[in-house]
Amino acid sequence: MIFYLPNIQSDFDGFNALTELHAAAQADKFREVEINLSRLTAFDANMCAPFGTVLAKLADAYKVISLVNAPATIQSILERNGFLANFGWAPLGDANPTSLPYQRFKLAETKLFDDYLAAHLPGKGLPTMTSEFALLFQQSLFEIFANASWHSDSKLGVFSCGQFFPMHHRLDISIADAGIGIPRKVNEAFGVTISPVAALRWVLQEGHTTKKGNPPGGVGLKLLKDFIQINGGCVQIASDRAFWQYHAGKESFSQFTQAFPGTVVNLEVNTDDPRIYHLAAMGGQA
Amino acid sequence: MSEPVLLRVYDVVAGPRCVDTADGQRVHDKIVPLLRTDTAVVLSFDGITMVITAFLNAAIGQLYGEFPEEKADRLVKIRDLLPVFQTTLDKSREWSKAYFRDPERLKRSIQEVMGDEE
Repeated sequence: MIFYLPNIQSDFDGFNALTELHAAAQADKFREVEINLSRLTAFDANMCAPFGTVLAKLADAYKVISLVNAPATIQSILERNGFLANFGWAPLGDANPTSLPYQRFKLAETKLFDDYLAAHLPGKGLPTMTSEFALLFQQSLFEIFANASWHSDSKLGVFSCGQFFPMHHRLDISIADAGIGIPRKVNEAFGVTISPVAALRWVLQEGHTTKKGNPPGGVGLKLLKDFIQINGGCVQIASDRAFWQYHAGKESFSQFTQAFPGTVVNLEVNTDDPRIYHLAAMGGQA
Repeated sequence: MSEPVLLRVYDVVAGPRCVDTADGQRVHDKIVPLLRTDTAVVLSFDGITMVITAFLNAAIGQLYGEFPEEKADRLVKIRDLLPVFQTTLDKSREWSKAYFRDPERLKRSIQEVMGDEE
């Protein structure tokens, strides 16, 4: 099959397009999946994490994937963060200083993720933070990674990618897994059948968990939500058919036309923010 | 009563970062035999620069499902934890206690959601 990928940005439509790619390719009787990039005029580099998740799921289903006809600007984006090197393209020697490169981790590679953040997060436009606040910000990213590795049952690992957009004053970081997704996890754990959005809404409440026999863990969102509210950024979660977004103090839920094959957390930070973040401004706690 | 045993988290996880549930499990597994013999444990986080909830749940939180709350609180003492992570520890303990006091609470909660949807 040939799938013409539309623009992929860090929003509902971008994630929805990836769900449709996954569903169409899985349903197609042929093994070859040609993803034609010629219609792309925009691709947020951080979205390589969920894109890579979809492609890994298809490859796991014995699909043979090719990416073709990328416009030069799009090819440059996908080359510079190392994404295309995973699909047979020649790797570029110089890493892009504005990207957190596309990287796939095994579930147990939390320490490698630690190295990844240490190597690539500095210099990406994060607002000024006290050392204590910076520790808790980093802790939140670990909580997200730990959730992906501990709860997702993702046999294909965890995918991460980020991009600093200096012109648009944004830093986007995406962490994705190819697991069963939060809605199915909730339904299977408790033997219920609730809608994807209701399941995601339930799991986002403090103290809720899908891991039976284990105490609830933080999903790393408390501090991030408080931070984002002040900073003017955005947090999103896409899982199965459910989509959640927190922006400007308001949260919204939507439903995709098809299921995303896993879970993605996307954090968007407004880098044009002169504030200095400290714990007292967040009520003194994470 | 025997002397408290000092357990250095840094030695158990072989480094300064408590970001892995498997490491948390190793800490837990070092604590359990001591609690079984009513031996107090002083868990030192000296040299630890990062701690996450999943680690603490594995290391300490699940003890509340294996021992009476009062016993786990009395015998497991924490020291040298960076103050910035105190809230994380408090939340982990609080949620773990609440979970093991009433493991069916989450099931009831989700069934209420299902009821609302029908």
